Amino acid sequence: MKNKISILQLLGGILVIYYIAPIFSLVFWGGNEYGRISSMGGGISSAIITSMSTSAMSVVISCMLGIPLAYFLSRDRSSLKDFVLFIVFLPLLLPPIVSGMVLLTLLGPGSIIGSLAASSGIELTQSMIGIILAQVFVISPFIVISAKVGFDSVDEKLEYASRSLGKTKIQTFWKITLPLSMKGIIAGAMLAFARAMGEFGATVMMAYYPRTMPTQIWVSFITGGIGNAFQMTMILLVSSMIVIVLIGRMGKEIGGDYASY
Amino acid sequence: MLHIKSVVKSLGNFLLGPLDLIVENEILVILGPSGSGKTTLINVISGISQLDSGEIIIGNERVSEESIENRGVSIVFQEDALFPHMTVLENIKYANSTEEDINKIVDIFGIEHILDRSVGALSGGEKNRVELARAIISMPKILLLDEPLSSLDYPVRKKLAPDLRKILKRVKIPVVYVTHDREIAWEIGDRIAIMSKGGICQIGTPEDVFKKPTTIIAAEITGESNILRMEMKEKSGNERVVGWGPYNLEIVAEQNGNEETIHVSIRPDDIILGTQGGGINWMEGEIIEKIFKGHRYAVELNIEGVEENIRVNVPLDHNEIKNLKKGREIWVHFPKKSMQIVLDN
Repeated sequence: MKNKISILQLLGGILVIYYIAPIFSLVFWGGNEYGRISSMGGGISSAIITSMSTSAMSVVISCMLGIPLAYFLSRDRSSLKDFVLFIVFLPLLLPPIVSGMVLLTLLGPGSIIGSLAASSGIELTQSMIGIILAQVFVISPFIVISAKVGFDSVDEKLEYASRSLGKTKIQTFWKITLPLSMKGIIAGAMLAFARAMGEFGATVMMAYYPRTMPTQIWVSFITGGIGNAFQMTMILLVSSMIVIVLIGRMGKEIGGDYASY
Repeated sequence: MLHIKSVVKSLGNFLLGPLDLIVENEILVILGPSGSGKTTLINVISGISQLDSGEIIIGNERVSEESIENRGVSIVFQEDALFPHMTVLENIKYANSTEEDINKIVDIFGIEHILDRSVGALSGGEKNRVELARAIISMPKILLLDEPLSSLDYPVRKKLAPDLRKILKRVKIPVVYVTHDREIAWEIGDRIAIMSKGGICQIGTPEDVFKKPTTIIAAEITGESNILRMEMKEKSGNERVVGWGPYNLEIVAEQNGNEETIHVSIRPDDIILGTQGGGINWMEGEIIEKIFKGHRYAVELNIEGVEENIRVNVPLDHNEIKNLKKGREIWVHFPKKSMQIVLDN
């Protein structure tokens, strides 16, 4: 039997190749130029720790705030829902650098909130908190939108059946709605984590220090070219891939087939 | 006991009620066509939808303002609503029942062999049994069944219906069962309420509702019926003389039809065909068509001087069956007590 490639496979394949080709190109380039690649010294480990910890924290915060919002957007029948959904899309419409600018006007040292926080000893910029604030702004829409799709896919009859069996709304949410929506939520968390790890524009505006991996890569690149940024770029790629695989596995543990990827 | 008092619920252009209904310790079947408001009624009883006005009392408690979980109702929906991420046993255990209750319900429904299966591996009939078992084991004060058998194939549905009635009678929980399927209604209900356009137009035993429909919709949904337009001529006690084309027919009226023009229902099974006739309620007709219907023939006739054609069911062993051919003239009799005056709604 002949295995013919359909037009759909061909079009999808082109996109996959377009994703993977630059990465292979970079690895190939690194192999040839190995002798000229310079080490980045002590900056590597602190940038890795900063990126990993802030991305993880941003995903957790985005889930804690975004999942309830997604549930509201999925179940509410008022016109308020459409307005809120429009607002959720706003951070996706803004270029990251602009997101950083608007956050600075709200939370920067010259702002009311920024100065109030500073007087309490909390720095909202040039700190881990600043990075997390920037990342949450940029990545949380991915979680809200994916979780909403997940909640939309759960037939409300299952929730009514659960409640008619004596379970409260909250118990029904934990036992029925959440496990059955896990696929959407895990997909959102994976997208959000990947986006947080790669986030540069908003983050660099809110916190040049401590440096995240993208900030460190940028600094290395402008001071020494690709050779100088190669190591950190590879670390960013590999570490992001590992974490995404781990999130996928964790989702399967929690939600079984309803969260598998 | 369920007591529905002057309940009103509007949904866009559709209005349910004002509706009054009492369900004792019985199986009440709500029989009505699609769009008559059956599911809306289930939704307001269960608390899925809130009332516009009126009151719902379950047991001795007013529950109109209560949320679903506090009403003491269990619902089985038309489409499968088993929790797909759980096994059969996990679904049944979901209602926090005791081990003893679980064993009992598993035995009643005969589902012991499928307890460890995932929901996706069940057949339609098995899903129905599990869903009913899950609803009953929570010991609700009222069990609401929204066409639970309608998604099954006809043979499976026919097999499950009598079993379902036995089980429902055994567990002794008041049941509201909505359906558009009259055969299921006859099989399951202690009483039948006919629902149309958001209201209950007739309520009674299955036999009463079938034999003495009071509205056109009740006559049509409870079985095949000839609905004929007639003129009121004379009234005397519960006897009436009505005009149908050139004929004066005598009928026994169960209810008033005070207008000059009335509708009369007569079942195709009740009309008598004969080679000889004459006298009260006999007319001459001509056969238009004869259609084989399995256990009987449906014969369409035109009555001389009348515009409306009628349909008559003739058993296969009728002595004239071979001679009932298109174009043949034959005598037709409407028995007095088989005709019912039916109201528009």
